[in-house]
Amino acid sequence: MSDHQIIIDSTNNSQISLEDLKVLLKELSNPNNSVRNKSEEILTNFSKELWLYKYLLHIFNLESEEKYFRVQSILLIKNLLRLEFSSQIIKSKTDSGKIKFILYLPI
Amino acid sequence: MITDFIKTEIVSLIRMGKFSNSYKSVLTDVIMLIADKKFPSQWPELISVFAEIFGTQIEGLFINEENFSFAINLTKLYYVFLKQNNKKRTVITRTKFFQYKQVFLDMFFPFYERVQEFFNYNIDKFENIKTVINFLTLLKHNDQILLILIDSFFNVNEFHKDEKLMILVKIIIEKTFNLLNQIYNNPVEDIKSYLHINLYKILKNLSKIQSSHSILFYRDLDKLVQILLFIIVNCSLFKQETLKVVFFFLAKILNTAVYKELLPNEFNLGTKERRGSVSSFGKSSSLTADKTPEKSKKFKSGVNVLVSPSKFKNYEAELEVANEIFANCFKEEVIRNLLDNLIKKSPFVFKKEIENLEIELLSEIEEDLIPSDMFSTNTMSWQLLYKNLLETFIINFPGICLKYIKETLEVLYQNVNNLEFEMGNILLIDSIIFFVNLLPNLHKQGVITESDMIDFNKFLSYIETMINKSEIIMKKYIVTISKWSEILLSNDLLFSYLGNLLIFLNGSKNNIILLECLLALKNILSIIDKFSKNNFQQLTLINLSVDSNKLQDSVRYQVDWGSMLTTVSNVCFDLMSNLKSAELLLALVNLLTALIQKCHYQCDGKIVDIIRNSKFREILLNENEFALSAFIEMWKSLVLSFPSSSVIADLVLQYVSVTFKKEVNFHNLGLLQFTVRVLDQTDEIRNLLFNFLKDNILVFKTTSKQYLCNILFSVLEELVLFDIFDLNDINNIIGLCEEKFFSLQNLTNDLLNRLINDKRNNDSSINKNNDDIIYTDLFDYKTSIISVISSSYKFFLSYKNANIISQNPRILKAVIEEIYISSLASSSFFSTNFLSCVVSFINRVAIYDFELFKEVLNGYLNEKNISFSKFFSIWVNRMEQIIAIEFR
Repeated sequence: MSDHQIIIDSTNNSQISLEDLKVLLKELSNPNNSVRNKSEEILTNFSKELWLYKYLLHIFNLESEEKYFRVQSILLIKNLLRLEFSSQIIKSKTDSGKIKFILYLPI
Repeated sequence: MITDFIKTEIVSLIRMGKFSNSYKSVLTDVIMLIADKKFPSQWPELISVFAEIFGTQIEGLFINEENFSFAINLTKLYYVFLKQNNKKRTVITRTKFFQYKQVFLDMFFPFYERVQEFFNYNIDKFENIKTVINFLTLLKHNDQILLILIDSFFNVNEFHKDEKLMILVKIIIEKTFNLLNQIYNNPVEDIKSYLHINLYKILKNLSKIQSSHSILFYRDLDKLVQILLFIIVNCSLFKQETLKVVFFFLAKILNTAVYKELLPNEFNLGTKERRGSVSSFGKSSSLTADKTPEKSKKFKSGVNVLVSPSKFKNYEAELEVANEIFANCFKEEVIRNLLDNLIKKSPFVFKKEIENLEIELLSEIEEDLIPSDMFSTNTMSWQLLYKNLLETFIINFPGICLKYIKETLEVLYQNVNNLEFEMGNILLIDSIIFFVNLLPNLHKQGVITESDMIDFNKFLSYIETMINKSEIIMKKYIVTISKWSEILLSNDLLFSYLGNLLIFLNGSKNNIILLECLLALKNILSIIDKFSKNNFQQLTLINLSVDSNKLQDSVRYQVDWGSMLTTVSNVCFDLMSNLKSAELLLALVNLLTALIQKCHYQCDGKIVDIIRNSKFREILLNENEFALSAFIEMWKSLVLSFPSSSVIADLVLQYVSVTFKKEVNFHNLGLLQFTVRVLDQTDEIRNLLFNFLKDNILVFKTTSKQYLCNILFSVLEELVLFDIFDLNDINNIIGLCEEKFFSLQNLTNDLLNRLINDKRNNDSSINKNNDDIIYTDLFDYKTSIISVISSSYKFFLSYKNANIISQNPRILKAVIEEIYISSLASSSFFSTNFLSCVVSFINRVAIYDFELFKEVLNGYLNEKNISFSKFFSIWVNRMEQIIAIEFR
């Protein structure tokens, strides 16, 4: 990832910092496919983590925050929720834990 | 847990007033997403937010601008919630929602009333227009909420227990009345436009409720109808979209069977006396007994929606009231007045500037000729609704309507000479003709009897005298011929009018007139076709009588189809190059198809010349994709109807040649493949095909796209089966096939090698391979090449000692190898088609020329060091596999 390298062990779901989250959000609109996919993947891995939503809502609520991040954070909440609701259906159909979700972020 | 967290957070966001900021729409999306699963039962906090806002003092609301817009946003949100909920009409979700009926109504209705009251009381005191507009927006949301609450909570089974919803309907209707007044009296344009929007929304929602719960309106039907009538009579005061809704709504009410269930049959005939009073139809037993004949009549005329008698069997009292009111609403003078307004006023709301109308009318259709979507959306839809409403009137009150039409026409006939021809009059005539033109269709449906019908000869000759006055009338004349064509046909008059159309086609320079002529012609042709096939009995059912034998004779001898085709094809091809509307284009292509079919019976050879001399080629070169596929459909249907005709075959092959020169693609190749499969084997056709191939052999040699090649070679196989080639040609063809085959072999070998290695490593990885698409095409291609060779093999039997394969057994060896290789790779890799083709080729060679086969096979096995028994088991295995698949 660009200048700010984040190393996240996504298997153990350790919490990332707010700054890192913002980097990830930024990368969601990266024209490079692989970078975008990577950050989507990381964020999706955290979709069950309450702290992620706290952060996102925090960013959304900050009047002083850049518009880009505010929009991005609420969009991410929306997409993760959608994922959450639809994954309940999909999971009941598949046995393996490996389900690949794709986040669509219309920007 | 996460959703719970977000739910709480969102509620606090709303409470903090954050909801009205600029990211509202995304936030609303999030809320709706959660609400879809959790609201109302699992989100009581949100309900209490709404309860709070609906409980606030109105006076306090509008002092603070921010509060006000917050309230507006929240009502909007509430509306969106209800709408989303109302869409889910499954039993479970609806029952769940029903539990909240009282909560929601009690919470919202007082607020609704207070806002309305406050507004009515203060409307003159507001100084700021912005406040009024804010209020109007709030009122709009409120009305929508109320209507959607009614819609979602009405339950026909609890109808008697609960009067509340009925009262709400009454309130809304009264409110609409007031709205009409306000629109009439309010001088401020800005406010007026908001009032219009509110009116439009209310009417739209009301009509939705009316169509799902018609019984709900039984007591207030008259007021509702009054509103609609007022809008129609004063149509110039209202917006077009409002008028559209009114057209729709009124027609819907007229068609609602519940409102006329108990009315006697004769009510439908309007002028005749009604059979006894309404009140004599009390008991349900007499009801059902009476209804059967009426129903079958309705069914025959295909008009009214049937209502199951059980659904309303407990509501006779309400039905009686509704029926009584309905009958009172539509008395003769009301209907006549309405018709007058509908015909003389309504269309002009949609075509406002009367002076510029001629230009506008023309450009309206020209726009269809060029790009625009006008045809399907704006202009058409109001006309459709308008037409639908007028038709509904004729169906429900045929007596009154016909009397009205006859009187109106009489006035027209009398004034034929002293009418001043300004635009207004012409448009009026135009609109009357439009109305009269609805009759033939209804006559056909049995709504209007033969004796009630107007004198169409007089009507048509009246229009004829007017043709010269305006092109609008001329256009109408053409449309009229088309509309009345079935009736004209049953009176043996149609063919003379056909001549008139031809005169217009030859004489007119106006594209709209030409187009209308062509469309009319197409309609007439399809009607002629229909009637020449139908038998007598079916025709009497629809009020028409046509002698199909006589008609067939007339078709054969009275019309010169050849000259018609000449004219039409000239005009048609000219128009087509400007035409962008798919519907129109298809209609024209259909017309051409029909005409060519007709000509084919009458004047065989001329068709080719006619088409060849027209601008046919020009069309092909600059035409859009849609036109090309329309043409291809046309040729396909022609080939299918005349598989033995060399004329059609010639045309199709010419067409294919011409398009090949531009581009070889799926469409024209598909047509070619279809054609060679369908055509009969006559000498003439063989000749044509041979020449075609000779002209286009380059295409076969040079086309490099694999997915096209496989069609090309299957065409070639069909051609081989046509027996059009001599030994030399066949040798050339096989040479071509070999060349292609071995060039492919190089491509596939590489792939196969990888495949075989892959198999050893990991079976499933093959499908992940990116070459997927290419390899299936490659193998299809190979399949078709081998089929060509295999089909030509039969041919060598008639030429002893001329077997090219025995001279050069390379190809046989390659095919034998394919069988062997197929055992190495995953079985799913090779398509059944390919395998069966390979096996049947080998089998064929083995049977026809065993010595050769033995020699080549031994050579191959020795070279590769494979034992015969191994090869043999693979070979048999493949055969079994194919048989197994075929039997599956």
